[in-house]
Amino acid sequence: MKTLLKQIGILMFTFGFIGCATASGPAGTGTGENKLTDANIAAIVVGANQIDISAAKIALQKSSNSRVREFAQRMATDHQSVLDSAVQLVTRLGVTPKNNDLVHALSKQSAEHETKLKTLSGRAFDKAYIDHEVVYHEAVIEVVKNQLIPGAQNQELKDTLISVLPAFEAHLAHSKMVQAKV
Amino acid sequence: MILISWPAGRARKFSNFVLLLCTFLLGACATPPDLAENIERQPQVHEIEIKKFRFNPATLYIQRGDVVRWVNKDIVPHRLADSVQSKWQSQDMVPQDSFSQPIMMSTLYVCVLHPGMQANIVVREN
Repeated sequence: MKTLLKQIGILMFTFGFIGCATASGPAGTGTGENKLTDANIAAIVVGANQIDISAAKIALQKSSNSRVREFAQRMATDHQSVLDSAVQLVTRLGVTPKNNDLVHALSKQSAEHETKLKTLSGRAFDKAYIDHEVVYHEAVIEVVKNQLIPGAQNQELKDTLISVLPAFEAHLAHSKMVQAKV
Repeated sequence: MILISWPAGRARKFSNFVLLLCTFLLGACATPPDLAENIERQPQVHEIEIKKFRFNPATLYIQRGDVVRWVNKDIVPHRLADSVQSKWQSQDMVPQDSFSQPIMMSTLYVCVLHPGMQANIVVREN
């Protein structure tokens, strides 16, 4: 758990660092030099949802704990809805998601997590999955709240991020409930 | 002998008023009490918006038999259920779906899919 928290902590630092250091690209309409572009934000939203859907699918394959399975099913369904909604919006806005260092960091961390999950089974798997879900949602909420919402230039994109936040907060509360019983 | 003499227009207004009063009194006497209750009130439809994982209003006051209609304005599905008597449950409500249910008694209801999402309906007796 400590290693996991450390990893997420590093990732959080990376989020903050990149949020401050990324210069505006061609798709960005920000006035400052240190803003994420809407294209970067779209890529982060897409990536963050895909990562959680992917982990949920592993949990549905490997876990036999009903609470964990129920939670994983919820993550798969809700994050797919958010993903569909985000893709629909950026398509309509003509924004092409553009990966940046943050998306690469997220993908790398997710790949490592999934590799670890695949080696585990039973309660050890359930615990590793749900512990990660708790810190992952905490990290994503922080990023959405402090980086993506303030950074979004397009109002519709900003509104979508604002409307997504309660879903992630509900998921965090749900993950903690499951964590307490695994 | 004192004769009261009113202008024609005023006399007509007075006779109309008397006629109206008689009609009202006769009507009140002739309507059976049970019929009076039946025509008193039709069930009303109340709407609850589901948005940002909250029910709005969080407490809805209705009269027995009114219909409550929920509309999902979130971007994820919700599924509602009466958590007091387990008498009703919705299907999964995808975004923009609605669900209607007549409510006969006060209840607490929840979203089955998202622990922590809950609200109240209070049935007023009067």
